[in-house]
Amino acid sequence: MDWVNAIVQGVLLGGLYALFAAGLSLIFGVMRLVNIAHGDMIVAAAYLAMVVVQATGLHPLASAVLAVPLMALFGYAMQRLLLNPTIGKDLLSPLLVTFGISIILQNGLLAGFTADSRRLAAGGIETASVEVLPGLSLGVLPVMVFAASVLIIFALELVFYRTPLGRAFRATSDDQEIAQLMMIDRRHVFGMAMALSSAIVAIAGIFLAIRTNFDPSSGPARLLFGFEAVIIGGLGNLWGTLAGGIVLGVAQAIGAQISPGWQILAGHLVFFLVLAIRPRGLFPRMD
Amino acid sequence: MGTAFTIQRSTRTSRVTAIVALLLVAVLFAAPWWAGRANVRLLGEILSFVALASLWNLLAGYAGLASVGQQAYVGFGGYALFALAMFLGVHPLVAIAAAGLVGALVAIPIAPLLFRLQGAYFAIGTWVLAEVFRLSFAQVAALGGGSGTSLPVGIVAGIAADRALREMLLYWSALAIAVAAVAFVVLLLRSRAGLALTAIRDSEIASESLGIDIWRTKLLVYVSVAGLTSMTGAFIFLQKLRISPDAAFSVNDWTAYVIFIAVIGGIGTIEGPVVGTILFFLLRETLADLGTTYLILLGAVAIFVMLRAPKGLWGLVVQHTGITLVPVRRRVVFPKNS
Amino acid sequence: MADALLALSGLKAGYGDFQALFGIDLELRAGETLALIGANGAGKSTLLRAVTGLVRCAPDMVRFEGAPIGGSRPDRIAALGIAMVPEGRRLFRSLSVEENLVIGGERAPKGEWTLQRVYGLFPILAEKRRSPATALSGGQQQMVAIGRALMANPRLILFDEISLGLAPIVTKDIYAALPAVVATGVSVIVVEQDVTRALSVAQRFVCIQEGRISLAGRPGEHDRAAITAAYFGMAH
Repeated sequence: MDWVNAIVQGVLLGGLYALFAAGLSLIFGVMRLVNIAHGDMIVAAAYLAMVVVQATGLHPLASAVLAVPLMALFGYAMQRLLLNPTIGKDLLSPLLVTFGISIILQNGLLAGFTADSRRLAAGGIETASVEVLPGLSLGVLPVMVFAASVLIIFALELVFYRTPLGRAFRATSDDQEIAQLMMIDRRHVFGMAMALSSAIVAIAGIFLAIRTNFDPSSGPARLLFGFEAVIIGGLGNLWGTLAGGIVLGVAQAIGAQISPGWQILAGHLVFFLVLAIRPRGLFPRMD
Repeated sequence: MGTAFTIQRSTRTSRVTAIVALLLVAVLFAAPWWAGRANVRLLGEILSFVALASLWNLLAGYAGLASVGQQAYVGFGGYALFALAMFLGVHPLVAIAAAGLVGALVAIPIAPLLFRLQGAYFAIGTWVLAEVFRLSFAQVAALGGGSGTSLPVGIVAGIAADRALREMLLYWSALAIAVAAVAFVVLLLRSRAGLALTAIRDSEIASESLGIDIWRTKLLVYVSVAGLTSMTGAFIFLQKLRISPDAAFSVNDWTAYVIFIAVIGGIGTIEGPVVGTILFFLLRETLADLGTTYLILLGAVAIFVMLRAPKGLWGLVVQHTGITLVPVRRRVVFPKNS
Repeated sequence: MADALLALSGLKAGYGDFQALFGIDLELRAGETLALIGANGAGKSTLLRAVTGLVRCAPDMVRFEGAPIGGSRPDRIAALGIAMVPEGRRLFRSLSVEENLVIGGERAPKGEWTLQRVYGLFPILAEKRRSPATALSGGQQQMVAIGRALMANPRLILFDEISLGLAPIVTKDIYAALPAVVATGVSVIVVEQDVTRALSVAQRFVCIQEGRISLAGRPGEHDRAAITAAYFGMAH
């Protein structure tokens, strides 16, 4: 039963990883940009949620009302001011600018909140669980996170395939030059992509804050988990990303069953294994 | 009417550079006699960063392999040195070279895996690799596990009889590594592979159609950079005498600083990393007391340079004076007439 | 001239160190169809790219309805009412046929051209509306590219090499649709290597050779030899 339990917890954990991954995958899809600060933005959102809760007394989950628009605004401004000037030049410039942003965010959080580990109390839902089978219980929060990630991926698909903004995203991704001839301002489209990515980051940050301890240096690991979910799942396929997150979560859970030191390592090794045998991921998009 | 021309690489400035560089190496070689003990140690550290930055610059600036995970090889080199010295009794100075060899060998099977990641995703892949190394070495009990280990006193004493000589030998190995790294970059860029790299940088598709094997050229660069980075890592931790997974595979120490150096000095130039290292250490020696503010400042400066002067400080110098100290480009020279 | 819709004066443009155009003067009136001819590499495409803002030039070099637009952002220029059917069609491959048409018009003012009218002009597209744009034949893709440009209800439409890579019979079909386009009062510049084809639809032509205008006039005003000379740069 221990193993079944571990696998079930791993699947649910995969939902959180898919949330980390969705925003990353979105901006790579639209502008081929990899945001190294992605993980640090998740952690910054966790702190933002904490500040909102302390200042307003809102329930942590309700802090999204403020955290989501604020993060989206931050993402839009960051894209317009810092990243757009580097787009289209070469691979290195945007990458290194996001690396710089990552350093600034990490140390900014360190200066503002110290290196102490934090956690956001959410009135008991973080510890509540339901026993579905004898010996197998599901945590309420992990189930909520998983459901949220399914909903968010569903909503993202709708935006991508059913709205003018989504059409602009896809057109810009296909052919930036011709997209401009369709009166699309790519600077704005890129800004909107980063804003949307950052809105998802905010939700991921809130869940992270309730689910686990976090500190200013927690960002890079979240970036790597999200990235691994994207690659394992297959580029350009959001449902694949969810599957990738689940594979990663299960691998980590099984690793942890073997030995605590193996939890994260097992996830990384599965990532390299997938890269070795299925370089395009488990569910590559059909073209 | 055919015009005669010759292909020229050296210029008068470059010959002067070669002489000045030789003099500089000679002066640096003599450092133990003109600098204090603490300064020699600092010089050793500076030289190790010259090596790391030059190698990263070759990888990212010339070969388009934007790695943010070179700490994998710094740490691996350090651990390899500790393992070779502690378990096999290899003399530490010999172990520096051996660590480089092992690092290169390890990189051979890794490169094809990482090369499967397209564009910027390669960067994150290199970081995952570094994490795999960090977590794996944390599992090795014989090397102290997660808390790390110190080099046994007996081994340290075995480097040389007295402390002064030991420090001199260590310093000279740093000098040798830095000179080797810079010379390797210059020679590689002047070789056939260097021409191929320039062609790849200009247009990957065009160079492929010219029959340049991009994959093999990148492999060559990745593996040799891994080897030399491992050697540098071996030196760094031999000087520190202590190693732990977190210190060995620190992304801040071995990648963030190195990228900062290359960015402010000038990515894609030979001189940039050297200029950048000097600037970095000037900043560090004056501002490091500021702590987190100092790091925020470094990040902000790097972003500012990327946006406003993407060729860095050395790029500005070249733009305003036209000087290239170390020409790696061939230029076509037509005889002056009429 | 105040009544010119598009006026190029001394247009110089190029890519990096390479200059492709060396001072082009050209005017186009509302409702006029102009053929732009010239050999491969003469600078025809660069001219269209300068007009659409994809290649930079000085503001005064390109005027649209009297306003300087040279070097403006491509999306701003498009919003003024200049549409292009690019060389090689360049449809958005992750968009369906209908989405390709819709995206052409959704930021533009409403006008005569709607989805229904485009489908009326090219009935086959209505059948394939849900297919990915890249699943179509070359000729059908060209129809989508034309429809995409029409959906913007432009004042000026630029056709870049629309017959390139298409079978003659398909080219004929595509050209058969042009009168319906012109009838709405839109101005047209047609870039073609197929001179006869281009001259057959135009009221005026301009021949470019190595970045300069080598001959201009009305079809029929010059004999074939003169046009051939202007085209290939042979002395006559």
